[in-house]
Amino acid sequence: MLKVQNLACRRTRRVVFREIELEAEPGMVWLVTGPNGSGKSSLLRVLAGILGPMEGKVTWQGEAIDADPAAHRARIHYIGHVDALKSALTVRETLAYWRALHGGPSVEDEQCLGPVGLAKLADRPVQNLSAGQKKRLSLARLALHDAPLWLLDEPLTSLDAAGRGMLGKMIDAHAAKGGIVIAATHDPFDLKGAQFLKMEAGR
Amino acid sequence: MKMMWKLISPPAFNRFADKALPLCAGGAVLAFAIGLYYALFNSPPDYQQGETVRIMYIHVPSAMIGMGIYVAMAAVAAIGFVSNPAMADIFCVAAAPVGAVFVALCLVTGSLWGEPTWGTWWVWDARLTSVLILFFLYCGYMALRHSFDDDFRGSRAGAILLLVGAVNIPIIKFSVKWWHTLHQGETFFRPGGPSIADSMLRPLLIMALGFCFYAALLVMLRMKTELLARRIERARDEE
Amino acid sequence: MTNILTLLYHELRLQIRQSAEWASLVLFFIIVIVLTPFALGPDPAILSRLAPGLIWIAALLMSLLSIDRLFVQDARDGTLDMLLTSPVPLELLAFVKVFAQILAMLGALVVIVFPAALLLGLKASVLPALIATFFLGIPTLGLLGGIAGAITIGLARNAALITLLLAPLFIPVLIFAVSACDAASMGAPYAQPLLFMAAIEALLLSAAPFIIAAALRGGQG
Repeated sequence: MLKVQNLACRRTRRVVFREIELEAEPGMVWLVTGPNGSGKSSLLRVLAGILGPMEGKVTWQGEAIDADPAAHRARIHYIGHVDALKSALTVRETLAYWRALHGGPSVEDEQCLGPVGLAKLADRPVQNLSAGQKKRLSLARLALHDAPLWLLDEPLTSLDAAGRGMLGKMIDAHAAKGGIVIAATHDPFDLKGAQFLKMEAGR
Repeated sequence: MKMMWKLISPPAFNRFADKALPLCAGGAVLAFAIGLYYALFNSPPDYQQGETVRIMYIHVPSAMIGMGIYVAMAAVAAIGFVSNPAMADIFCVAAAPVGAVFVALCLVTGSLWGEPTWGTWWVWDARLTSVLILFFLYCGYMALRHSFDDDFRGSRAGAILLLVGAVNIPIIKFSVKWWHTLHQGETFFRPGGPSIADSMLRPLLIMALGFCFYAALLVMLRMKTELLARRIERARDEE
Repeated sequence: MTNILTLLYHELRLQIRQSAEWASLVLFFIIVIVLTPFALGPDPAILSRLAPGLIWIAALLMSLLSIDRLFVQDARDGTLDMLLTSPVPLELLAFVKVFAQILAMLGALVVIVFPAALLLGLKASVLPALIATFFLGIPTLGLLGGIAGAITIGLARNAALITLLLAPLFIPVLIFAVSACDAASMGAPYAQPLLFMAAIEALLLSAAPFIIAAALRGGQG
C-alpha cells in the first residue's frame, strides 16, 4: 500500500535524514522512534504531502503521492504535535470546522467524542480544557472521518495512562479494519505487533 | 527554452562568465571613456538648463538600468518557477543590490538636477516618485530575501514578491502619473522618435551602453561570488 | 457550496469571538485620528480638507497591524497544517480566511469612520465617497496583506518587514481613494478613481488566492 523508497529530507540546508525505507501493508502499525532532531516530524510531514522530499519517493498503491495531492489528502489523517485548536471555539464548533475542512461523510459529534472520553464536554470552550483533554480532542478527528492512513506526530504528549490506553485501542481497531498507522514518538508506546523504524540522530 | 534553462548549471555559468567578464569590462571602459568625453566636453549645454543638463547622461541611464534590472529579476523569477529555481534565485540575489544602487543613483542625480532647475531638492513629480517607489520595491525584496536562512524557501518567497511587484509596477506608474504630472513630457522614448538633439542623444546612448556593460559586469561578478559562497556553506554543512 | 459557507461561517465566528483583538485595532485607529490635530493644529478648515487622507492613512496602518492575524496565528497553533492536509483546495481555504478578515475589517471601519469623521470635521457630502472607497480599497489591502502574510510565514514576526513589503503596493489604492474623496468634496464626479480601484480589486481577487496558496505551500520545508 504505502511504500517509501530511499527517502531523504533537508531542512534549512541540513539533511535531517536519508535512505529511509518503509513498507506498510493494510493492518500494519509503524512506530517511528529516535532522538530529537532525527527527523521524525519531517518524515511524517513528507508522508502527509506537506513537505517535498529531497530524494526518493513515496507511493500509495504504486502511485506517487504528489501525482494527485488532493486524493492523497483525502486518504490521510495527519495530526501534528500542536493541537490545531482555537481556544475561542467550543468542542462542538471545532468538530463542525473539521467536518467542513474534510468534506466527506462523517459521524455524529457524540460518536466521535465518546471514544476519546469527551462526550460530556461537547459544549465546553476549548480554552477551558486541560492539556490532556485538548490532545484527546485533536485525536477525536481520527473518529470523525474514515481515512485509511493515520499519521500521528507525538500523539502521547500530555496524555495520561487512561488516554494512552484509549489511543492504543483506537489504533488497534483501525489496524483491525485494515488501516495503516504511522506514529512518531519518543515515549515508549506499548502496541502489540507494531513495527519499529529507528531514526538516527541528526547529522 | 525550459531545456535551455535547465542546462544553465553553475559550471556552465562560470565558463560563460569567465569569457564575458573581460568583454564587459572592456566595453564599459571604452563606452565610459567615449561617452564621458562627449557628455562633458563635446556636447552643447541646454539653452534652458545650461550645464546642469549633463547630469542627464548619468541620470537617464541609471534609471533605465534600475528599471530594467527589476523587470529582468521578475522575468527570471518567473522562469525559475518552471525550471532551475536555484540559478534564478542566484541571479535575483546578485542583481537586486546592483539595481537598487542604480535606482538610488538615479534619485540622487535627479535631486541634484532638481535644485538648480526647479529650485528644490525634491518635488513629488510623477516619474521621480515612481522611481522612489521602485527603490522601496528593491528594499522590500532584499529585506525579505535576507530574512530567510533557508535558500529554498527564501527563493520562493522572493520570487513571489518579485512577480507581485512587477505586476504592480505599471499600476503604480499609472496611478502616480494620474496623481500628478509636473515633469516635462517624456523626451527620450516618445512615439515618433526622440526629440532631443543628436548632439545630446549620442553621448546619452553611448553612456547607456556603458551602463549596460557595467551592470552586466557587476551582476556576473556577484553571481560568481554567490555561487562560491553557497558552495562553501554546503561544504561546511556536510562536515 | 454549503461547505464553503460553513467554512466562511466558521472564520467569521472566529473573528467575532476574537473581537478583543479588533477592539485594540479600532482603538489604534481612533488614536491615530486623535493625534493628528495635535500635529497639524486644530484649524477646522485644514482638518476637514485633510480628513479623507488622514482616515485612509489610519485605515492603512490598521490593516498593516491586522496582517499578523491572518496566517501567522494559524502557523503557530497548527491549524495551517490542517489546511495543508485538507482535501478542500488550499486556494479556496486561503480565500475564505482572507475574505472573513476583509469583512471584519470593513465592518469595523464602517462603524468607526463616523466618530473619525466627526472628530476631523469631514464634510457630510464626502462620507458616501469615503465609504465607497473603503469597499473598493480595503479588499485590495486585505488580499495584498494575505500575500505578505503568506510569504513571510515562518519568519520571526517583523512588522517593519511587512510594512516595507506592502507600502509600495498600497500606494495606488491610497492615491485613488483620496482623490475620489477630494473630488467629492468639490462636488465633482468621482466615478473614475472608483473604477480604477475596482479594476485593481478585481485583478487581485482573481490572482491572490493562487499566489497565497503557492506561498503557503512553498513556506513549508
